[in-house]
Amino acid sequence: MGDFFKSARFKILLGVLIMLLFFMLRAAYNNEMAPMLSQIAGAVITPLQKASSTISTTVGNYFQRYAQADQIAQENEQLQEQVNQLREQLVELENYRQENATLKEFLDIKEENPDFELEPAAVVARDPNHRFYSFTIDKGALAGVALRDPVISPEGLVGVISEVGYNWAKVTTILDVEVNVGAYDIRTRDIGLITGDISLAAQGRCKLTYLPRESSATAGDLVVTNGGGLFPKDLVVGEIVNVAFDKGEISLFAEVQPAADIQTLTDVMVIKSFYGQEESDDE
Amino acid sequence: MTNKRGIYAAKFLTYLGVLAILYVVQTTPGFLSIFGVAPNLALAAAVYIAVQEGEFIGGLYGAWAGLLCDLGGFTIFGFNAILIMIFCVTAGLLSIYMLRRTIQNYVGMVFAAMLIRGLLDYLLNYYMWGYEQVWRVLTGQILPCVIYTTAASPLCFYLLGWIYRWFSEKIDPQRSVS
Repeated sequence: MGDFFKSARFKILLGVLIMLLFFMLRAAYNNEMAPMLSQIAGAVITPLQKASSTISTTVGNYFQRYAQADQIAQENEQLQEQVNQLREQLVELENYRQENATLKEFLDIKEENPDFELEPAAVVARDPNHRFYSFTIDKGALAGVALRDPVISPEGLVGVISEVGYNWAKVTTILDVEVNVGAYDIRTRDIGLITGDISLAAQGRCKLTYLPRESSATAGDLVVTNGGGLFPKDLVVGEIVNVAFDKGEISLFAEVQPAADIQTLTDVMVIKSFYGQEESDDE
Repeated sequence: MTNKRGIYAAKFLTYLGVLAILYVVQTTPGFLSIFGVAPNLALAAAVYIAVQEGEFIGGLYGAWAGLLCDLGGFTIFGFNAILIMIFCVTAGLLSIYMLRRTIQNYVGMVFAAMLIRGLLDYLLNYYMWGYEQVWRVLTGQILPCVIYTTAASPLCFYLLGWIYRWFSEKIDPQRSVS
């Protein structure tokens, strides 16, 4: 084994290791755009991921329909042949219906917020070592997506862009402990900070911290963003599930069930610009 | 000779492609995912390549698999590339000098690599930052991923084993490959 450490092969591997270390240090120092190696790999891999995601959804929908048709067949054997003929059309129509509904919801957002510049995107990858259900989308710098752009679904706020490639971007969700979003209870007007919590993230929830002790916020209250440059004002975040005292009982915190189903999202919208958006040095 | 070079080139390109495909499969939303946990097949495949091809080739493919993992991962870029490269060099050296190339040893190496990767990820990206109830990340996400990957690794063993034998027979038809 000692020969290996004296060989040219070891020196080559050491060179590769030093190169990777260099890229890692560069990525840590300059977080503006993904490193070049990542850009190249992303340009190749993202279209494959998009294709794989589409196939997975189509096949999943097909088998879902199949199971339903099977149940109907048990109850209505005489209709089996007709169901089989219609099944394929049903899958197609269902896909169109879902796509249509999603686009209509996005159109509603656009109509309600004419200042929003939106970019529709599909969730193409969820890494096995994901951080709090973060994911990758199929739009990047080429589509005008920039670091820290808010990401939404028709239901509400999803997260924020944390890394951008040419044709992909990574989204850190509001379930992440590193994300902080200014928000308020729409009924009581109490202001707090939406952030992730490790124990709540497993249930798909986040929390609204730093609520005043005397706050009357209660379960069922709607929480929306309070603007401030990074996020548009009045974006729906979710609904309060529970309110309790924080550690030290200095303030209250509320468990919030995000309006968006972050764990199973397939389509999102990136808000590329909005009225009052803060110009960031990183963008 | 030229034909053999062509076969070697085809083999190494196939490895690159297989790693990329496994990465795409493991990151496809909803596919292979059980309760939000998915296996890291790219790492398992890279370890197999290291076991069969040795520490040098294995190290390079480990770096490639790690770069793919860094592409979709949320750790700092290079974290997975460096770790998986080191794991693969180690796996290659172990299979040359100390361990037989059996499925048990391979599964053990995948388990060890995933566990060390997971523990370092936990230590550097979660534990050191002092989050509340941080152990939940370890028990609810990292360890299940380690177990799932270990359980799924025999699939990589047989898939890549088949590819390795197929190319070995083309390169040297006289030699039987175990």
